[in-house]
Amino acid sequence: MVLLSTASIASPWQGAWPCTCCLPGRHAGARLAAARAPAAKPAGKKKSKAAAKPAPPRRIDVHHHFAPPKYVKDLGAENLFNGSPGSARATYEWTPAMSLEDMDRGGTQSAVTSVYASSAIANHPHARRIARETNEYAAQMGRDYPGRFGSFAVLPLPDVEGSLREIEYSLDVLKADGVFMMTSYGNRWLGDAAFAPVFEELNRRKTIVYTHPHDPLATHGIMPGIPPSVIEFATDTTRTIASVLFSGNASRFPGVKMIFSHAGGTMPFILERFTRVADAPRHRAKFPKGVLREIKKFYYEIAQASHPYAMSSLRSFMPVSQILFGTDFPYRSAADMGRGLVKSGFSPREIAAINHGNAAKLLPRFA
Amino acid sequence: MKAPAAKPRRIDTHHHYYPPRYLEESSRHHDGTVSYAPEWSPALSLEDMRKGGVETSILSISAPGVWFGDSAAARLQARECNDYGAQMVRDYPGRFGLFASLPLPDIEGALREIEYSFDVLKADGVVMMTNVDDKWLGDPLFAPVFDELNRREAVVYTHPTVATCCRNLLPGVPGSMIEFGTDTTRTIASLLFSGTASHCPNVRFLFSHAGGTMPYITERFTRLALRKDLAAKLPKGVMHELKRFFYDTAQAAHPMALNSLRELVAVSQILFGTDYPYRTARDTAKGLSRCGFSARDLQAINRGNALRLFPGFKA
Repeated sequence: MVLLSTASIASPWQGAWPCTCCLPGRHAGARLAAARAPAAKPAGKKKSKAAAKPAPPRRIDVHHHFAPPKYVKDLGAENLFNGSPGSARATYEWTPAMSLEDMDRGGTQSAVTSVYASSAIANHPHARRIARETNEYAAQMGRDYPGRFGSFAVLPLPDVEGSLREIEYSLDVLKADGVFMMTSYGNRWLGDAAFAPVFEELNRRKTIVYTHPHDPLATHGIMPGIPPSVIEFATDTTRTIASVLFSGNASRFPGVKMIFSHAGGTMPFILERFTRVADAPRHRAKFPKGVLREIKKFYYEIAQASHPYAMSSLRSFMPVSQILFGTDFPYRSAADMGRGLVKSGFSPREIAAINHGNAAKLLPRFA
Repeated sequence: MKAPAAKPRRIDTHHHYYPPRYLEESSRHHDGTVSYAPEWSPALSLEDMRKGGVETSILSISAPGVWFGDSAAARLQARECNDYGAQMVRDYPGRFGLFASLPLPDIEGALREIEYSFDVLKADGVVMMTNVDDKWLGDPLFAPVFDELNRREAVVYTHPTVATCCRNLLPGVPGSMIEFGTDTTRTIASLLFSGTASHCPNVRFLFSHAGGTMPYITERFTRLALRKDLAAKLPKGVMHELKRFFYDTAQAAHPMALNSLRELVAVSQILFGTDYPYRTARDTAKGLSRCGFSARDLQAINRGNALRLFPGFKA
């Protein structure tokens, strides 16, 4: 099957923005974070002998978007494009070759894909068909480039019946690596009772659930001039983490392996708010093993958060084993995220775990 | 044996008070989005300060502020709160300061209250909610107020409140858990990208709770600021503004917040704050001691940094 057929429409937005590959501000993380991260283990005691040639990172990118031509056509480019350069690349320019180029440049062995701007599927009259075809496209990409692509199958939520069918098909037939959900659908976050049948099935199957934030209904358009990705995306991840926890779903469905985007949105920064609320009598019974245990069971990927501002917070309490490499391609590049990681105070061994080892345990076929 | 440490003589810049008539009115409008109606009296404030080594607390009205939809009522409420606070400052010399409440979004009333509270009451600054009716502080509506505060080189302390859009989104989860943090972040974005922050370089902005959640997503701010139209609003750069703001430690005296904040700003910008009566000074001090600050940095956070903003408390 030939996949390299995406018409590459030249984007008028490309080049309008300055290069954004470098983080402004000081990069004190490497020097300082080790000194002040109480939970972090001291960086590798044994000094590695003269690093001859560093082994390739063999990154596994768990936050990597794709946008098949039919998907863009079905949903309408105008409904997917949000005005930003990254969105233009995803909507108008994406091809598998573009993904592979970023992966090769940034030392990514495998990318587990999630479809771009999938909120557009929610409540679409052809949501089931679009989800099905998108997942088939991802599976075909996996066959066409062995070892390079995995798939988080998109579900046609909030359609629960359709989602149950798509779980069965994508996991049993297409052998997807997990499923993909938005952080909210309308004003329902993922712990909402409406989604419980889906989580029951995913729990039974011990499935990976990758979540991606978006511009939620509640805050849509509240700050004219500020794109929702700046604040509202992160907050919506935080809300859905709270929803999964305080609905009791996290403890009720221990088989589900949740991956949250962008280092958990903003949750780590306000973790203490979570632990204090969870300690209230009305919530305590939902966390027989403690709320922190549930929070530390989740996985967090580093896309757009591969910098000391987020990492110094996350690693102050989170075991490195829960941190996964992610890029948010085509918004950001693997090389860019890799550079940020090096500046975030991790030891080489920890970086290797984040690049590859942690994800390889979750997704053994990419080990 | 260790030599006895010098007394910290902390200055608590995030300390709430509840004049009886304010408590009465705000309770009537309370919508259940935040935990509320704590037991409070001046004596209880002083007791917490004694236990936690706080020499001076700067009083402020907490969320939801004094605005309940009516200008006349808001003006009256602001005036009463400010007079009550000023009386406490007089009654306990050196122990209290005052962030005066303003009847925003009533601009005319706010300008009058600024004049009265600074010129007559000698307030130490003003307190603003992070949003009023889902308008954040960079909204053009508020520009005349910021111009006046800039002229006076005022300290503007902000306190988060739950935006109307975000009330009761998650069953059983109080608004303060997520929505407070994000609303501070929103108002910082609003002040930056509207140009208000750079237009008012003499306003000393003080943000609650270590900046809400902003430090964690600093990179989103710096990347947005690369856009040409927004870069024009920040002639000295977004980092210049973020690094000149002040941030308090209330509910954020832990490594999850402060490790991140310290990547962004110098220790000189971090002020001791407790969120009393929701949290205690002792609790906050204990948290701070676990964040890896040097003794000198701790003392700066406890007192020294605040003294630069409020030299009147030096005595």
